[in-house]
This record gives sequence, C-alpha cells and structure tokens, in this order.
Amino acid sequence: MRGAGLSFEQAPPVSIPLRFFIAAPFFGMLAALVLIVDGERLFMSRWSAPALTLTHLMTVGFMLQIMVGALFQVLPVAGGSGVRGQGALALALQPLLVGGACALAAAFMFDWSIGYSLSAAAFATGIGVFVITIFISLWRSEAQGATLTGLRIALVALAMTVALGGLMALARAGLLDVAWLAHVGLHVAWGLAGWALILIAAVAWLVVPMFLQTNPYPQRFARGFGVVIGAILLAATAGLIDVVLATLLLAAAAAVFAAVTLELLRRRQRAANNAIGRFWMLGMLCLVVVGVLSMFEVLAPGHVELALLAGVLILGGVAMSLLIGMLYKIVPFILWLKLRNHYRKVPSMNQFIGEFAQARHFWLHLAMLVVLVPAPWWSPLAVPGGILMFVSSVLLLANLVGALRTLRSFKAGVTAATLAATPPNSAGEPQ
Amino acid sequence: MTAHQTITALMQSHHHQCDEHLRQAQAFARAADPGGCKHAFARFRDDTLGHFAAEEDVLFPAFEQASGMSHGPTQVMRGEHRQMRELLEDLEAALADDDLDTWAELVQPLEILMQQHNLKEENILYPMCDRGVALMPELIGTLDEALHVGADHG
Repeated sequence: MRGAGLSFEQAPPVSIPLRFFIAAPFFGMLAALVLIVDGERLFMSRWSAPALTLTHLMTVGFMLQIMVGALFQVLPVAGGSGVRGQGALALALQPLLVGGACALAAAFMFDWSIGYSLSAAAFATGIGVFVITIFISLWRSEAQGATLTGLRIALVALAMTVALGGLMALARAGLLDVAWLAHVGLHVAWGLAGWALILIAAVAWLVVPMFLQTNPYPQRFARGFGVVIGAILLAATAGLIDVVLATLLLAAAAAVFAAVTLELLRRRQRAANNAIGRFWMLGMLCLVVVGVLSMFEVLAPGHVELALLAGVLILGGVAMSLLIGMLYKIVPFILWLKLRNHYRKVPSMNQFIGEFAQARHFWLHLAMLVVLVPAPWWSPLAVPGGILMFVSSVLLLANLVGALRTLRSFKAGVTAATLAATPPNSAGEPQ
Repeated sequence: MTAHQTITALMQSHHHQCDEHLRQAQAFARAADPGGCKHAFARFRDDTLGHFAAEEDVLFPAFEQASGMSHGPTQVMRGEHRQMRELLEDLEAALADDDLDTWAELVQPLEILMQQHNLKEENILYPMCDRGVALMPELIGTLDEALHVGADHG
C-alpha cells in the first residue's frame, strides 16, 4: 500500500472557491451590457466584435471563474487530496484570469491590439501554472473513478483551448501569421466539448446523484465519456478526421450526455420541484437542443441565425443554468459545513440561500432565455434580454453575498452571546 | 460468509443499502408520515452506525497497520464519522419531537457529507485496502461479520 500525498482533507478554506464564485456575476453583468449597448450588431453574426466580446466574457469570465472555484472544491473529493499551495495559487491565479478576460473583451470590443497580447500572456501564465499544479496533485493521487479521469482530460483540453486561443490572439495582435485564425474550429471544439462539457460531465457524475438524488450514471458511460471526446478531439487536431465530422460526433455526444441526465432526473423519486432541479433540467434540455442544432449546422451550414441561437443556448441556456444551479447547492453547503465544524446549532442550508430566492432567480433566468431565443431573428430583443441578463447576474451576486451575510451574522451572534455569557463564571457553550 | 470478492464491492453495497433506507425515510418525510419516517430512519441509523463501527474497529486498524499511516486518511475518515454521528443524533432528536421540517433541513447536508465521504472511501481508501488484502486474506470475512454485528447492535 502506497499513499504518498493522500490527505483526504475535507475541503479548501471557503474563501478560495467563494472568491471565484463572487467574481463570476460581474462578468455576467458586463456581458449583459454588451447585449444592451450593441445587440443589433451582435446578432448580425457570431463573428461580429460584440458577439466575440460577449462570448469571451461568458466563457473565460463567468464560466471559467465558477469552474476554477468549483475545481478547488471538487478535487479533495475526487482525488483524495487538495491542491498543494492552493491558497497562494488562488491568490495569484484570480487576478491573471480576471485581467486576462477583461483585456480580451476590450481587445475584441474596441479592436485594441495590445489587449490581445496582454490576455494571451495572462492566460498562458495563469492557466499554465493552474493546469500544471492541479496535474501534479492528480498525478500523485491514488484515486480511481470516472470523475478523476474526466478531470484529467478536461485539464488537457483547457490547456489546448488556451494555447490555440493564445496563438489566435497573437495573430490578431499582428504578432503571428493570420493563418493561425483558421484554427478557430479546433479552439471552439477543445473549449466547449473538451474543457466545458467534459468538466461539467465529470462533476455531474458526482453531484447529480448527490444533489439531485438520482441513481448514479451508468458506470461504463461515465468512464468512457471523457475518453471518447478526448479521442475525437485529438484525432481532429492531428488531422486524422475532418473538423466537420468531429463537430458532428461531439454534438451527438453532448446530446446523449444531456439525454442520459434528463432520464436520470425523470426517474428519480422526488419531483424536480426545487430550484436546482429546475436549473439542471433546463440546462440539459438546452444541451439536447444545442447538440441537435450543431449537427444540423454541420450538415446544412450557412444559417447565421441558427449558429447565433446555438450560442444563446450554450452560454445562457446550458452554462448559466447548470453553473447557477450548482452554486445554489455548493455555496450553502460549504458555508453550513464551515459553521458546523465549530458549532452544533447552525443555520440550515436553506437559510443561506432560500428556496424562494432560488426560485425567483430561476423564473427570471427562464424569462431571459425566452426573450433571447428569438433575438437572432429580431435583434431589438437584445435590449430586454440584456436587461434581464443583467438583473439575473445581480440576483446571483445578491444571493451569494446574502449567504455570506448569514454566515457573518451568525458568527457575530455567537461572539456576542459568548461575550455576554463569559463574565463571572466563564465557560460559554458554543461548540 | 460474504459473496463479495473485494472490500470495495462489500463496502460499496453496504453504502447503497444505507442510501436506500435514507431515501425511504425521506419519502416518508415528504409524505408527512412521522411514523414511517422514524421506522426507516432507525434502520438507516443502525446500518450507518454499524458501518462506521466495522470500519473503525476492523478496516481502519488493518489499513493503518499495512500502510503505516495512522494519522493520514483514516484519521480524517474518523473525524467525518464523528461529524455524521452528531448529525444523526440531531436528526433523531428532531424526529423525537415529530419535527419533520427540521429533520428535512438537517438531512440535506448529511446526505451531501455522506456521499462525499463514501466517494472518497470507494474511489481511494477501499481500493488501497484491496491492493493490500493479500496480506490479510481473512479481512473481507471479518469485515462482513462486523457489518452485521454492528447493525444488530445499532
């Protein structure tokens, strides 16, 4: 029996994931502002400056912040050990990711060529260090399981996405040959199918049965999913298969993953009447549609509106729904656990982010999607859609901050009670 | 004697048995049936406590002996057992007052804690034990017996 590096520590300090979670809604607000200010141009083409700006505010801003924060939380469970030096890593990483995302968005939006170079440098450094550090922890781990396999492949995909993206950014900055821009198909495939989809799936193997009380995913499916996607991506990158064929296969895989998840949700004993269930149901329904749409796009290309619709559904329908739903379970749990480690009687998970607040957010989020789905055909809808997206991001921030307030006011109450109880005959009873 | 070939398989199937009792208790709680909930919860609690005891008395000492790690993973697992035992007590107290709302609130974090805990054991600790089991071929049988004794004792 070996066991080097195995610590089994329960979780990182809550400040590590939370700082990433709290940063995410600000990117949602910025993306919403792009919709409001420049919606008409945005819905002309997915390659328009505002469309690229919004896409990257959502992917390397909103999504990446939440995903990186969640990774710090998931690794101890999946791999049996946290990330070595995680406090310092998180501290150095976040400014690089936030700065890189802002520079990239500004570069796209205002054609600011230095922004491309700055963002390439920031992401290469930040993601490079992040991927290598996590890889070292995962490598040392003796753990088995589909989640760990998925995480490893997803991290490689993240590195590939950033590498291809960085090269394209440098080409846009005029530092490299423009021929690099032709790799956009691979960049998108590695980013969406490799990093985002495999990561979401790898986390889903853990959290869907845990948070949504479903049966586990079929084991072979879970084990094979990331491997198959990784193999398709590698084959496409090596030129063994056409990017078009790869896209078709990846879109089908995404749709199958979503369908399997929906089936698990449908079969569970408890009805999907809580907010996280609704968010995940919606996210998976959108993912099925995205898969089908992408296959259609590949077989019958040239529908500008359908490509834009796929974008709306991927960013708003899939990513936002799944990530917000996950946060509304993870954040109350980690705050509850933090208090419970010190006190016996603590606020319930629902008191950190109430069911009503979650449900209100869900309906607002759904309204945003309903307004944005037809926007590729009628761009004035970008303004109300953008306003709803802004409010949705504000609500997310307010709910996260509210959860932290509950934590602080509980601690303040305990301190006050201890002080009041201490004077003459000592021994207060918090514990 | 156990039908399971590995420690992982034996312990995993016992985890699932515990999960099943907990799901039943939750179903009764949703149906506002305190009697049914108490009954199912008692079985869940007994099985879970029996599971903890079998690990702490049989499996963990064997792991510690074979790996030489007495302050590593098993220490953390024991700490998590203690945390879950406290939650089980709080859940029982809520049921004693027929307070299904408090019970349902407390059962949420227990479920997550327990799933996280089980995953770490199933993906890491048990497979490590299986790799070392050649040293103690009788361990699976002893563990299986302990699981049942533990359950009988509650």
